[in-house]
Amino acid sequence: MERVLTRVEGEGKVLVKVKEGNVIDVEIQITEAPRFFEYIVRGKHINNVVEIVSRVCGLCGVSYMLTATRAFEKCLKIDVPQEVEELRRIIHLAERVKSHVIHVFLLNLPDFLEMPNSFRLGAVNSAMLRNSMKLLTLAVNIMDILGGRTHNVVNIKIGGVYKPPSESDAVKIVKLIKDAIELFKPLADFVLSLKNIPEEKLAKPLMILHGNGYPHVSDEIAFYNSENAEIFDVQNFENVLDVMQRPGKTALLYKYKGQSYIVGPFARFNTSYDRLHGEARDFVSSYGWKPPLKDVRQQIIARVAEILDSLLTLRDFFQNYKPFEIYSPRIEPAKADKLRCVAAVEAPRGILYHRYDIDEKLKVLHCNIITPTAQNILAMEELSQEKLRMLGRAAEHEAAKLTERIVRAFDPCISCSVHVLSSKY
Amino acid sequence: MNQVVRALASEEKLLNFYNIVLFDEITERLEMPKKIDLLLIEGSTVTREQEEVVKKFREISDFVVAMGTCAVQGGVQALRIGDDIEKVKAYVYPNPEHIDVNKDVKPVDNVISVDMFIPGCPVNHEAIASLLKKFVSEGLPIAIPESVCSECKRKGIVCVMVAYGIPCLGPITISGCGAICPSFGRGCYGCFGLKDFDLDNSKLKMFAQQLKDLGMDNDRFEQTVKAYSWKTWSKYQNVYHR
Ligand code: SF4
Ligand code: SF4
Repeated sequence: MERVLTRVEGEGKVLVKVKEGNVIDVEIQITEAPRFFEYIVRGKHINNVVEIVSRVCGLCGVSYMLTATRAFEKCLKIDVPQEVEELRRIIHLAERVKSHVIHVFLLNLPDFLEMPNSFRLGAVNSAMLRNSMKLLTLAVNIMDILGGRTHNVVNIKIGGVYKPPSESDAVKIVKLIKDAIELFKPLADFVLSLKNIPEEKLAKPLMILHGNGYPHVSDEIAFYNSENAEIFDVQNFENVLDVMQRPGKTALLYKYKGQSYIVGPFARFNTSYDRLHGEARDFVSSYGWKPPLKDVRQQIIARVAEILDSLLTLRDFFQNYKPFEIYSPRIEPAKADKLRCVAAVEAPRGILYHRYDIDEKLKVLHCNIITPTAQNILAMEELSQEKLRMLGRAAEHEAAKLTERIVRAFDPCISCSVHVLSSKY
Repeated sequence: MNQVVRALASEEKLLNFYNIVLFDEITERLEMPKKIDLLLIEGSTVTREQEEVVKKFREISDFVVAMGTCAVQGGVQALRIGDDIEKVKAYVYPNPEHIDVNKDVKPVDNVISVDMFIPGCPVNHEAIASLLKKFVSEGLPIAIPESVCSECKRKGIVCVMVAYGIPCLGPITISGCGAICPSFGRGCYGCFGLKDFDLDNSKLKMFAQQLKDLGMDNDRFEQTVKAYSWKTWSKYQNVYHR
């Protein structure tokens, strides 16, 4: 049986094969047509590339821009002052808030309320609908000030930002954040108090960017199977992953040491809860939510925690913010005829990895992008299969719907996974 | 989806006027009516199947809007137009023979007739909100054709090209964004698309020379224009092409 995936970013389908009443296979199909990003950035100047890759995703363009700029800065040895780097991370956290607000309230919450979409919420709880829309508006207003707009922001460049916010911008932002936190808490209360969030054991090993704070920007990756972490350098990412392609299918699937794994809020929350902002930790734990979350469908809890964590981090940043001079490092031609530029960031949905090989004229020779969704797809399929097998024959009619819910818990961005394919050469 | 949701969020009552029947990213599929009053199409078409879908929806829709640079101009994916599609597929896919994609990237009006265009990558949510509000009272927003420069002037934004010698595509780019890039002290890169009025090949060529003097070589200029203005640019390119 087949079901169109709705309330996800992009176009996909779930395909469930049932034989004599038992589920024998679950497949997540990406039906969106490829846009060949890895191909179209070839021959383009790195400045153009930063703008182009921002268009890969309709929800997390800042993650793409940040990953690309960091990759180019590292290989060209362009220094980015601490305060500039900090500001860029803050813009990135503002995007995390926006993306999670959309996912929690518009895409995922209807699953727990048995509704086809969240606009239906208006009929039963009009304040809830109104306030979640208001919260979204506040989140995008913060992004407008920091990035110029919410999507394909214009304020990130190789070497830093174009314009640091002014003192009065900072005052406005602090006000917006305070309003957002106030609006968010009762909405979060509703989510954290939901009684029907499943809590079976339904999970896989985890992977995060490993650093000092809550996972965000780093050059190290950690893989967690049970308590133990294996840590490796982001430069080795492509080497440690096994890539598979199903015959005739467009999406590539990734494994680490033969296993599927999970990236994103679930992985971040379960490995790094202690590094969440203290107030965010207190808030979610007051509802009894603590790591480890056992079931991937509890990711909504991790997102609620991350929204609050990001808002508080933004608040702290702008309360102490002092505007700084615009910093524009010169971008010199590369010193070698082939440079390898690699970076990764924690996009809202998990580890996003970019690799560019560039020539001395700063044009891209080759590109490879590994997105969070591409890494999660195998886990989504295997977890759905596990769950459906547990249910046995009882699952037959609900199978596609159940799978869709597991998929949706991951907040997949299908438009990003479609072109995430190997560039072989 | 961001911008449409944002437009809907901007005015509480809007949701009372519209019954959203198909919007996979936001709602499960509900029963499809025989007629649609307002159809917003995002994206360009790259497969025959997509063309069929678009045609089918045109038939049952009263008013069709091409929304966003992809729908209006082709979008960044148009950067591959002109290259051998088999090579493009083979670069990205180990099994290119399974990938069914046309060699062209078609803006929506290359496939069906379109009643209104709202450019932008992404579109300005205010333009969508304005359309949604006016459409319920059987009106339409008024489009004023002008360049991004007019928005700079109205907002009193210092011209980055005149003041700092930063290359800016604002003079040849259609207005609508509110001059976001110049307000951040950077040049416009034309994401709303080339104007298709007051512009011809010789003007474009002259302008490209100006940008070159400011440090943007012709190659980068072309790449930038092609990425966000495929449809309009291709009208000019035969003469403009070096
Ligand atoms: S900054 Fe660009 S868009 Fe604004 S007036 Fe100058 S040339 Fe025109
Ligand atoms: S690139 Fe030009 S059209 Fe696009 S947002 Fe910037 S100023 Fe506006």
